[in-house]
Amino acid sequence: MKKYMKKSEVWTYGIGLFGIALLTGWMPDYTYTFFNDFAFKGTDIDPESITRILAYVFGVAGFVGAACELIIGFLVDRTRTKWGKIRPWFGFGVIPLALVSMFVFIAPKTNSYTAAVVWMFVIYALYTAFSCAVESPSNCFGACCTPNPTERSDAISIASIFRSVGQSGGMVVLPVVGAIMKLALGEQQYKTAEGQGLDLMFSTAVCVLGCVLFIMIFFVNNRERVPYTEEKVSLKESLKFVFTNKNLLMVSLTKFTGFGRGVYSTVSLYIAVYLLGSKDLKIGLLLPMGVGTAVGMLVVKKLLKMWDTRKVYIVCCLYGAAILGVLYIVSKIIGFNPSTLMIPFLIINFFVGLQHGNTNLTPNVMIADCVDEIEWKTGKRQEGLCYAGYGFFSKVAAALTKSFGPALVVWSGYKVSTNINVAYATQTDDTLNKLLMIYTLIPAIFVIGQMLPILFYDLTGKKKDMITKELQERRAAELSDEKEA
Amino acid sequence: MAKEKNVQHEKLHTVDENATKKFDSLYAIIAIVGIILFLCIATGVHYKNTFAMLYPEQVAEQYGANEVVGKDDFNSLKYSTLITNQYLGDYFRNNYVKPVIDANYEAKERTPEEEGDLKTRISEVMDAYYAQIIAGNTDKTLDGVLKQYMAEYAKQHEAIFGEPASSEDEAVECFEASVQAYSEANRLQAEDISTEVTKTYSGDELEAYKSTMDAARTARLEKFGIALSDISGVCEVTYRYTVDGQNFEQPYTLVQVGSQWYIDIAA
Repeated sequence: MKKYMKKSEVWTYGIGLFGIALLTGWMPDYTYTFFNDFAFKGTDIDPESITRILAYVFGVAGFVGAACELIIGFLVDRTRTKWGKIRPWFGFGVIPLALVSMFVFIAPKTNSYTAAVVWMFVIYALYTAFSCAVESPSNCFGACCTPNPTERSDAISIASIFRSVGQSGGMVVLPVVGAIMKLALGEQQYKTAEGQGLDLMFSTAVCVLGCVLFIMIFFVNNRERVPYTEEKVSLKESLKFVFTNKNLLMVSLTKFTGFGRGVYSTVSLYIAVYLLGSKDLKIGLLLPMGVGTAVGMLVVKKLLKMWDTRKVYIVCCLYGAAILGVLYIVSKIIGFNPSTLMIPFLIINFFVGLQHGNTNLTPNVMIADCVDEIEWKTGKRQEGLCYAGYGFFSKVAAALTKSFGPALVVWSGYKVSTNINVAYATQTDDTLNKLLMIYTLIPAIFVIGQMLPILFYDLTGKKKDMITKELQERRAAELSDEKEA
Repeated sequence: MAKEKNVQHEKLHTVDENATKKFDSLYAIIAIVGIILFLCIATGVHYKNTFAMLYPEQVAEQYGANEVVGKDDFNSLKYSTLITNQYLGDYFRNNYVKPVIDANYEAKERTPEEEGDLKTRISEVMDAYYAQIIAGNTDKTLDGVLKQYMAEYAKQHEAIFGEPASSEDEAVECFEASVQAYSEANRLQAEDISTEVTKTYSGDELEAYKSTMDAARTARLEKFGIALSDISGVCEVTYRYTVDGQNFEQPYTLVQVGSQWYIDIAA
């Protein structure tokens, strides 16, 4: 089949997603830290009252985000401009996103608790809404960058890898900004600035600049190449097309049925302390996992050239569950002895990370195929709402993980230290075993859970080829009719 | 597979790849330049308005809050000329902790609870010792206090743990805990705290101030990494507070090095 994209477009699509992830990967955690520890330091506002209200600030923002996913998805599908449906959203939306993101880290000087609370609610909800307006359309750009499914799969794969790397970019920005500030201000003076949250402000400025720069590269170089209909679809019809499409629903459900995969992060610190011997080894857990994820995405990219998406997804899920099981069994055989367990644990942890490549990549390719299927059935392209539906389920799943993880820690019987000189109390073998299960077996169960809906996904092989062919023919026929007219 | 033969597209629209090319490039350049300007202004203004070390009254307030109200002479040093060229923690470790620590000694293996108990015991002893040596101290650099504390720490560690002190981090933690315990026990319930710049030296007064510094004082400043020529400003700030209805004032002299102000403890 004909190739439509310039070689540079494949890379600039990835660069754009990297830029967005650089900012959106940074903001949530560091916003919480900034609001809690720095924004109102030195004022008359009671710090504990700020801590108590933060759960609500982020809770409300979560609802705003979920609602915005669907609204923006719907609006994207109704957008018709000379730039296309999706490009104007990230191209022009990045400017207000940049401004609002910066203002999140410039707190107003106030002694009024009410003013502080109102500001936090408003500014973070605004950030959530604007980030949705940029991030969601960017994620669904893959579905319209080319009508060639193989080329599209390549572009989405590379872009997804860049996005994954970008999400950790903030962790590199902060120490680099810190090092520059130390040189400029002096070591102790940097600590004073750090105590006022100024390093976070400068780091946000770097992430904002990176986001704008990379999105502009993406905006200038990339084009939408899949034709869309002029007719705008009503919200009711859109929701009907999207939520009654079996294949799209199955892909979206994987987020819901696999929500417990992420609980391992709740106990990473305890695994580092009790099984590996030091809390400093938490980075040792995250790094091999992160590298494994990036390598995993490259592996999945190769697999997608050999197998269909359904097979790739199922095989990778089975691999993921198996390797988590292996990690559990090896840990039990060696025993909870850090000096002997550490090296094998970290090595297997890398292989555990490989399976995340599948979860990060394959669903995006599947959704792009579902967009084609919906167009084939209804004549309408609904990239925005298709990805929005998936994004909505992702946010629900993330909320479930956030409460499930801590609940599992309670189930494990973990005892908090009551001695001020003891950071981490000795735990019973039963508790250590349960912590290990939370890191391995419980996520393994949910990896199988996320695989189950895909057993009913059938957009592969001959059906997919037939849809692609017919869409091509229809578009060619329609466009030649237009030219004649 | 059922074929949807009767589904037709509505009129299709394709994006003309070149229609917006010029505008896109121009827009991108303007957007990037605009955002850079915005970030420079926003961060610059916020940094200038917020960073405490740029304002002598804020430096004096932090120093006074630690030294006078908080009875925390150690952490007050963070706002003094002592730290212009280094981190206070490194200053403490390099000059006072490392000389008494046997870094090559391998400590015995203990459970977290055993370790915790021993740490609690040494903490109690050292907290009391710190309180004893700090109470009458007048040396603003705490040189004598820090030397005495660490010497006693090494001695007590040997007595309580049955082995030499081998961990810098534990020594620093113990010291910081002693400082905090003393601060909490002796902190003043101060109200109506304020600072006021009472005098900013003119050019001539600044030169006169520098010329009055004797060799010993100049040497101390140089030990802190400050040459006389580095001092670009001097001012006097009064730190005021009220305790039990009684008003108190504490005068400070601050020197400006670069754009930052420091309490002059070299005097």
